[in-house]
Amino acid sequence: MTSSVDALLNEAQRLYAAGDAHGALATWARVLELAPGHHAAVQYTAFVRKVLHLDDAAPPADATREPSRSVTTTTTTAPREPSRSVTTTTTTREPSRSLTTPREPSRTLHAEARPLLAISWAAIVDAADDSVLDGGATTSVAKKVVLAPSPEVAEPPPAMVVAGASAAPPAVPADDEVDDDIVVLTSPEDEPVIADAVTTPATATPSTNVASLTPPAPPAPPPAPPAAVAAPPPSGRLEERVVRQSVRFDEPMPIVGFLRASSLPAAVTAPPPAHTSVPREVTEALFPAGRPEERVVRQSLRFDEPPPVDAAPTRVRKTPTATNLPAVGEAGGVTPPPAAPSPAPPPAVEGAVPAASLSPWDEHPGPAAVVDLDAAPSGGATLGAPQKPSAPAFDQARIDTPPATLSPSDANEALMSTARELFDLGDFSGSLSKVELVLRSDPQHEGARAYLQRNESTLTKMYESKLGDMTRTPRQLIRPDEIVWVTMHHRAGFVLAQVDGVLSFHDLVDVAGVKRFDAVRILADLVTRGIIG
Amino acid sequence: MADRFIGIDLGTTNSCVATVDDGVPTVIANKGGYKTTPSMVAVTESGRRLVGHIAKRQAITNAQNTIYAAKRMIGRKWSHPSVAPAQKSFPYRLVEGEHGDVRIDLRGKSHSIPEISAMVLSEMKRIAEEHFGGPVEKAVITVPAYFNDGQRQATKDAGRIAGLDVIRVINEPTAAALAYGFKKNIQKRVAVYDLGGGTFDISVLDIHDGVFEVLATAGDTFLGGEDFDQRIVQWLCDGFAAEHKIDLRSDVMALQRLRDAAETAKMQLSLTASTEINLPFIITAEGRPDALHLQRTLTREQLESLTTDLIDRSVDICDRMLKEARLAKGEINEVILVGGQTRMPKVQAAVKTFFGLEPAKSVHPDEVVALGAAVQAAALVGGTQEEEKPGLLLLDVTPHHLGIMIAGGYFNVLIPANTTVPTSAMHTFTTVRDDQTTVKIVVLQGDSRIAHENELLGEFLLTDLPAGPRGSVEVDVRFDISSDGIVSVAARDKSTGREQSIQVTASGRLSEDELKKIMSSNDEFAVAEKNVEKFQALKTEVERVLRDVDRLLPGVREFIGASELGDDALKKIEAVKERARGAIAAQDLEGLKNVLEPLERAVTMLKGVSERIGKK
Repeated sequence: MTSSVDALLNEAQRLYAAGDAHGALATWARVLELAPGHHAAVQYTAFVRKVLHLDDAAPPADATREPSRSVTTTTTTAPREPSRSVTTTTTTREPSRSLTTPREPSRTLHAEARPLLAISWAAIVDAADDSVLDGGATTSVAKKVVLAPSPEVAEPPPAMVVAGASAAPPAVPADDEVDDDIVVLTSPEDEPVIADAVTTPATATPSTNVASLTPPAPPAPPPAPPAAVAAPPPSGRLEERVVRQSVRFDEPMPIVGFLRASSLPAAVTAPPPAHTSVPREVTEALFPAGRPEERVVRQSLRFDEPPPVDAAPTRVRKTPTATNLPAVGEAGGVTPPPAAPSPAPPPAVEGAVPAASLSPWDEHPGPAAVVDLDAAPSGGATLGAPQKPSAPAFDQARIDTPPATLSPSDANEALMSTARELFDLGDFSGSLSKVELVLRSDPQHEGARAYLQRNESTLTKMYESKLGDMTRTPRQLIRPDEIVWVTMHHRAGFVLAQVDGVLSFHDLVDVAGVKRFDAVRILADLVTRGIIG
Repeated sequence: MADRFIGIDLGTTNSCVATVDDGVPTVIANKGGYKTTPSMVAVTESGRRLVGHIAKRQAITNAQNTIYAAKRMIGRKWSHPSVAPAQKSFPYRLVEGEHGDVRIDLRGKSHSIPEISAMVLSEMKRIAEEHFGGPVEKAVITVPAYFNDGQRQATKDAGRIAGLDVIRVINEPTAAALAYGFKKNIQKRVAVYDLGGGTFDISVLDIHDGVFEVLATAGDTFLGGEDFDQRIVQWLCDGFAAEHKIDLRSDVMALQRLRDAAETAKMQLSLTASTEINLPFIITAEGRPDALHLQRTLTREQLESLTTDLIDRSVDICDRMLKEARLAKGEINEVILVGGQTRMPKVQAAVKTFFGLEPAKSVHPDEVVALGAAVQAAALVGGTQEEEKPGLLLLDVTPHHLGIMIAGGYFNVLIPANTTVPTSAMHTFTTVRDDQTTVKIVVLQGDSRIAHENELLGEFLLTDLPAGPRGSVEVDVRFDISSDGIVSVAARDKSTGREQSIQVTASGRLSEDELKKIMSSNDEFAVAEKNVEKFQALKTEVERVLRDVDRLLPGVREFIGASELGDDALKKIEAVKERARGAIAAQDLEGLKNVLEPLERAVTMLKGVSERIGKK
């Protein structure tokens, strides 16, 4: 009995994640038939019905007109929501007004729109080629929903995709296909902001140093999702937030000051971990120690559900894959230290959905095992500081400092071993930093020199791919009188001074006065920060 | 169609190329719109050769591999007194060549000075060819009036390496006067005050009946606009140090930006009374949070006070030259200003005060020399139109005394300095020992009475003289200087008529084989460079298509990958992708060419399928 209820709950969740809200409602209804008053089913049913406006917009008199198109739930199985009995296409279409909302002026998409986006997309796919779509669970349910295809919904909503819906048709949108509503101003990569926002909603919970400019503020916050549900239904609400942080870097700061959703909360006043992914020499040169910095980070996050009002039981799991580990140029330096308390510790949950690999940068496995943040002894967890690395987990401490008792050669070998491991895991900047440590003590170390070359070569290619066509001529995008308000090292300032609208990226690398590796890194940083383009 | 021709002002700091279009002398601008191009050559870490503005942009940050002022060393022998100080002052490495000439070590490869100058000339040729839309070969190149024969020969060699047919080498002041007097019936004595980027020259010419004759010339090879820039840099550094206790000179990047900003500010102050120097993020100080900014205002008055002594130095040289040439200021009818630094109002005022004349403003100081060279090229090559043949007769002068060494180690002058060329002179010498059957003719150039203090141009033996008491055997020695300034010396035994002669060439000059080898190497380099450009363009295109493939492939695979046909197609696409990536990694131009079309076909197919299944 319990297992069948759980199975149905999972099925409902999967359907919802795939965009089939009505299918999900039907499944929850079955749960309620089996286990009347089942808390999770009731909560979810109420929430989804509210999202779909099934309760307040459907005129009872019209409910019978299109009964075959709706998924109904009986009033008896949803005692807390007695009036929400019938849904019709009329009501489901109504929220689609958000689809016609101009995308550019407003970065906020109503929460109600997201399920429809998915449903519409599924319908369109379905209509496109029945012979190709073989009628999987999601698709077959989607076929029941007849909605007018809209060009604006011809691609799956990113939130739905990254929510881990296995049956949801594809795939990570390419760069130029990313929803305009997604503001990825500070992301070093193509997709991870979305992934992080979706898979780690708790990390985006407003905290002491995270201020939401456009809080979701639903008219009546729906009840919190049940504790047993792995991933809340993706309502797809987009939120743009500005985060003002005061950061003091006692250690050199990485060149690229990205902040990603996963690294936003928690203490940022502490020094970055020693395993900062940017080579120390370069970061020292670029950003000397002891720099207090106030930075403003603009983020857009998609929430799968409204933010919990009272710390509802939510499953949160931080999966430190290559995506959310500090890569080159990321704000690895702002990852909070292990001691930093989590502002809103979520309760322990189970069955979390890992983040999908969304970028070619994430092709390699993460260097650490999945860590349940909720499993922290205090009930809270510190993001960025793995609490309980499981067996094959990557020993971060081992990377940072070789045992003091080792002889210099043993210490170098330990570092080299770590460097090799990091290289194999795709953390080239981390590997590079270890190699540089080795070369500092033994400049002739052959293995280190080889790995130095390999890391720099790989990273150079990555930065070059970020720059794109190297024959393109960049221009300064910030007015000269405003440029002084940007934080920049003088080497980057030198490169910026060479950007004159005549020299191409290729030329700029040649006149940069630094190694090619450093030159492309600086240029990639300037491009990412929107200073040149 | 008449031959295309150009005139090139191959300057120490900047070069300029001009031609005569429809009878009008015209400067040809480079790709960036600049009418002058820095005479700088650099080789980057990747082996790329940079010439001109882009080389200048990294001249300080890549100082050891950036060659500037190569003109100071052209045609010099390693033993020349000017080489040792240059070794200390240049950041790049000078080495001795196998002919005792001066060479430059650039990223491990030794280059002759003409080879370096040829890179600049090639750039000027390229600029001209872009202008004409076709090849250009005929060129007149200018050199300083004081250049000796070896330096002129080396300049011609540089032109040859660059693929130019150097039809004449003329003096810079002569070229300036040519441009000034173009299509004017001028009967004047003019002074040409040339304050360029790195050198200062003053010359006096007589222009009469279309004849341009250089009467006297003098100068300072280490005085120019760069010294003015340096004063501004020094002022900025001192001010910054006083404020922040940081010496900007210690950081090459800061120094590079300071030099660029100083030059810009200096140029602006020729037009305005004050200018703002704004260099954000100039340096990052230890223990400070952010990079510091430099922001200062420089007034024209401040600049003038910083550089007064430099201007005075140039005026002193003018004064000395007039005295040595026994010319009075009152005999000068016109003063022509040449070189960008003469746009500084204080310089113009100083010239005006010294000569008592308002300098001529009808010619552009940066362009006048190249324009004059183009006018001369037009006269020599001619065009289809009559007005392109100015019919000018150039009379240059020898900058130094020419003669031979005689007994006692003295220098016997046959052709005094400032003799108009072409010219010839003959003198009879006798033997100094009894039964002397051989004489050695040592050809010298210089101003000292002591032979070894002058520059050796060449030497040869006249043998089989009849035996006889000393003083009884007479030998006629004859010097000829062509209009190019090329010196020929012949010695003839008067009694037998036996004669030996040489055409004086610089002893450090490149051999014919070396020249051919360098030219061949340059051709290969040009081809390789074009291939690199082609590869980069193709690589960009292939990478763009690859991105399309990567974007479309996952979605298509999801839908058609399961079928046998689809799987086969996808495998083929993967194979093409691999080939493309392999060609990029191997920098294989042909390989890239071969994969582009299959890749594009793949994209077309993928797009078609994607559209069918409703994806974009």
